[in-house]
Amino acid sequence: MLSYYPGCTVRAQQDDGFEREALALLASLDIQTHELEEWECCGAVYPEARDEYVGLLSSVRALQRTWDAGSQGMLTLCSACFHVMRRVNHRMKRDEEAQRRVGGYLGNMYQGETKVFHLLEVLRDLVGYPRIQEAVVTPLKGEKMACYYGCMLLRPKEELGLVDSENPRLMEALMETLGATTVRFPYQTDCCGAYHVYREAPLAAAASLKVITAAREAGATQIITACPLCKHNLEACQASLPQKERLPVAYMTAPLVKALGGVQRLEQMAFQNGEKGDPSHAFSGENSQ
Amino acid sequence: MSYTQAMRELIKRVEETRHQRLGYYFPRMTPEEKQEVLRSYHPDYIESQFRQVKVGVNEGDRFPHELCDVLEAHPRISPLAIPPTVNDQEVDVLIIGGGGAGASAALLAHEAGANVLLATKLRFGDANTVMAQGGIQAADKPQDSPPTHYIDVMGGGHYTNIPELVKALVSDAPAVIDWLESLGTMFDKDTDGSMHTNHGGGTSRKRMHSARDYTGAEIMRVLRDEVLCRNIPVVEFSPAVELLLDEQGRAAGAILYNMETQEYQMVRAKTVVLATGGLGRLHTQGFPTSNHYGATADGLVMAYRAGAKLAFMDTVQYHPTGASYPEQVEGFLITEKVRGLGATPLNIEGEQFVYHLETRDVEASAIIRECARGKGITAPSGMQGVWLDSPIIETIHGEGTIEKELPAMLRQFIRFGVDIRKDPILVYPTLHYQNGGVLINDQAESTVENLFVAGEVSGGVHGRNRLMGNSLLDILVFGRRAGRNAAARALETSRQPVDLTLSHVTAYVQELNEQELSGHLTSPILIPLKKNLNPRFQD
Amino acid sequence: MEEIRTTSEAAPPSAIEKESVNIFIMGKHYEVPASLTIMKAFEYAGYTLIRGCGCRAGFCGACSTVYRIGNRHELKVGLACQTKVEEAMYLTQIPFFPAHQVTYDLQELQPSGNQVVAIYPEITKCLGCNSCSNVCPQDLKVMKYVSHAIRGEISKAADESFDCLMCGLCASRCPANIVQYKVALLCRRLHGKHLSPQNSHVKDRVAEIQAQHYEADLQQLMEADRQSLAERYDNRDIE
Repeated sequence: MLSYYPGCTVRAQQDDGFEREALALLASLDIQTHELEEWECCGAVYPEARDEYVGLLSSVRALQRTWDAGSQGMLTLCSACFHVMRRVNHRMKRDEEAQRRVGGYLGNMYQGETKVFHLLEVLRDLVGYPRIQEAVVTPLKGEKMACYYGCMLLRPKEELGLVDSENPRLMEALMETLGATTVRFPYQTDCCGAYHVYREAPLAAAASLKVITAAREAGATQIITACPLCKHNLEACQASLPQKERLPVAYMTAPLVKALGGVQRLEQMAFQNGEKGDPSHAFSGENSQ
Repeated sequence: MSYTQAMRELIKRVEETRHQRLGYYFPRMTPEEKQEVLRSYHPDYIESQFRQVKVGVNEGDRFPHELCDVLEAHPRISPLAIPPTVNDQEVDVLIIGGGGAGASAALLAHEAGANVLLATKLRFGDANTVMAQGGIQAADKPQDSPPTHYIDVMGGGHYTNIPELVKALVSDAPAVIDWLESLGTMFDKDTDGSMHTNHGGGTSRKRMHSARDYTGAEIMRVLRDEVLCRNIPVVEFSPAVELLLDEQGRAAGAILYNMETQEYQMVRAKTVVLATGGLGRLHTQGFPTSNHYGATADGLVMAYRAGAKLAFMDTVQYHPTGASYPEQVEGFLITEKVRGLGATPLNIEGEQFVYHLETRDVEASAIIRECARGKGITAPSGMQGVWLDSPIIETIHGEGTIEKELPAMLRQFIRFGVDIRKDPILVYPTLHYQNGGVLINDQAESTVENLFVAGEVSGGVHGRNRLMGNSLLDILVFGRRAGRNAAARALETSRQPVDLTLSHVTAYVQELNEQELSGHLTSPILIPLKKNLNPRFQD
Repeated sequence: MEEIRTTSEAAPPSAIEKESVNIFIMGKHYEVPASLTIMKAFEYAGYTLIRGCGCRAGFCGACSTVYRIGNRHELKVGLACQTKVEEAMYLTQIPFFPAHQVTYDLQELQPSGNQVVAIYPEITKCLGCNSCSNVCPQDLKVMKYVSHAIRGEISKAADESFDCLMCGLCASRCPANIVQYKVALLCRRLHGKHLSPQNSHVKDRVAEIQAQHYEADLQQLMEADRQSLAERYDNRDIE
């Protein structure tokens, strides 16, 4: 069982299907997830200041709760949440001063015991590509995928250690498992412009457009990402382009779900796997409304 | 402070009888039995606790001593030399009181286009309204109807209620619920969206609407927010201390007293809404009270001096179930919802002695009688009580019911070491409500022209006994009527009254002097008397 | 003038004879009976409360109090009417906090994800310090409901915050200047108006009443004499 940390953006934007698809996918592949009873915003950016500790609190609290839940680790979907959680955890393993300060405030002694997973890692390490390949019902023939990583999944490599940060092949391997072709293109690991979109929109647009253009020139039919902010920027920068020049942007879950038969089928399978007994329940964030 | 060992022993008897009592129907009293227990044990019938008021419109009427004391006291300000005032104001409608009645009057008067000022003694929203836990009645379910509600109200009030007021009460009730919901009040609902309703003492239909056990608090915080969102002026810690009349004897404003700077302010108004609440903090007959700090009968005193007639002031409601233990919560109200959910009163033997949902006066009298018979339980403080078997709620409705339905009550007792899911509560009647008040008609008008009155300070709608859930209803029905009518009257009056006077107070003082009533007490008292708050100031 | 016949609700004489404790109200020493609440201890010490006292039963939130015990450094909080005095208690009340009041027209608002953030943008500045939850005298998970509000989970925020007394202690301790209790109120009002499941029985009844459906019956009841009313009352069928 994994403790699921949704993150604010994923939850607030749940209508875009990322969360539903991801959870359905995992449940259909026998990975049990359980949303943390209580969680707060991770801060969205890792607190770089070495002498400020308050920014660590909410992440450490979520990591501690995951540990207390006795689960295998924490599941994140959003690249930014993954980035912050993994780095905070990394620091909490090593930084005794942070352990003392944060622990003193929270009344615990957290030392980085929890394992933080990104969805991509869960698929690679806990599920395994052969298993996914078996589950494919509609191979993605003819699709040429541009896999865009951005920054948050990759750097700093020493702290995140997800893949080779200069030449990642993680999403490519997954897409090829589904029968798709992938394209290599420059700027795959460059920044999308990130939060500059709020203050310096043209700057962010230029950065994203560079990525889109490169992907299109490499022959991609769509571009996929694991980050809500990247997805936003990659879409926003194309708003002024003529329709035919636009490159569809999708979460990396979308082709996966498509290849495995659609989200409803996966939810049905999850239901049969005995996940919670109610297929609608596990996937609806705000079921009380 | 959990129960003492001696009390624990007694609780065992309650536990022993619990399963036999499950599903057992204790017979309701016959009308004759009810009359008997009321006459013999209800505090309203203890003649030595009453006297005839010597001055004013109701001269010769029988009122509790404590009320006579404040009515027969001298004014705080001399009517002959009005103290200097600052920041005087002119408005269309002055609303005095910041509880549920005042807030709803303010909203309706504002909606009607009037220029409104709401003045209140404490914080806006500090009122008995927030303490009404159990619910609000409204006949809005298919199996119920306003006439059915009417009969329940009249029977509960022993047919003394003023019919036109009861008609107004039951007819406006569903609209009040609808209005509250449109303002965003979170009522308890069933999964299909229909209102979750329960019984209260004396109801023949389940028409008690609730918001967990914070019903009044939920209503008050919504109304307060709405008043603030509409930028209606509110002045806090500024009680009225005297009403002003115009040359024709019509209400035309008030003198406000800033309790912090101790300065006075004159507010001229075309109409006045009095919504100051009741007299609980006068502690009639020495009873503990469930009432808010501000319930000091100020409005009764001011209106009475201005010539408004009072009605049913010889009857006070003692809520059957005030806490008797632990000492820190003595007098705290145990909401009737606890009995609505099935908890029954039991004597020292663990035996039920009265049907648990009789009207409040009957239920209270039966508890007083049981203690007088020596079948009560004595707390370490010396206070008497009977058990209220709260754990049976969990047996009847399932584990977790108390936490879900009575979170406030659970929390309050846990603070003092008593878990009401596991142990019964020791209870005795507590002074809860002023049944009577300033006499009004169905337009919320008093006998003084342009003086509108709403909420607990008014009298007539409940007759001699109020049912649970009808006071939250009362404050909103008549608060809304008062606000609407006061605004309409003000807007048809073109000019502000000019010659404002306190001559009615001068005349009243003369009456006091003629009766040789010249004690030290001045009123309205505003703050409960020290001897009611502080053991060091006891006789 | 006759003497006032009321007696104490505060504490019976027996309480005075019991054990007493030393407390410090705004630094000043008083010896009071150990059985008292903070509020009653104020009064016992001789204070006449104007602010900082309301329902005296844990519902109104007027009597927020901050205190500390003896040599211990932790600040504690409570409602004065609900907290017992302790030996060496140093205390003061926070009867008013100048919290920001946003005005809005509920009827115009949409219960959507961004609505709460639009009205209270500062909620996104929550640092996650949890000071709000730590001081809540109702033991609410304040930070949790603020988190729900940030994410647009309005109904969850409404539910989680329901027992709030609006005492303001949370806001008084928030490093991000969030006024949690007003955020909660907005969520509850949005839920109550827009998100709670709807019914028709209330509006149906209002329409019936407006159409004078019950007028004749009520008129008849108003004119009925006591005896016939009593007959109907005594023979009511009970649901």
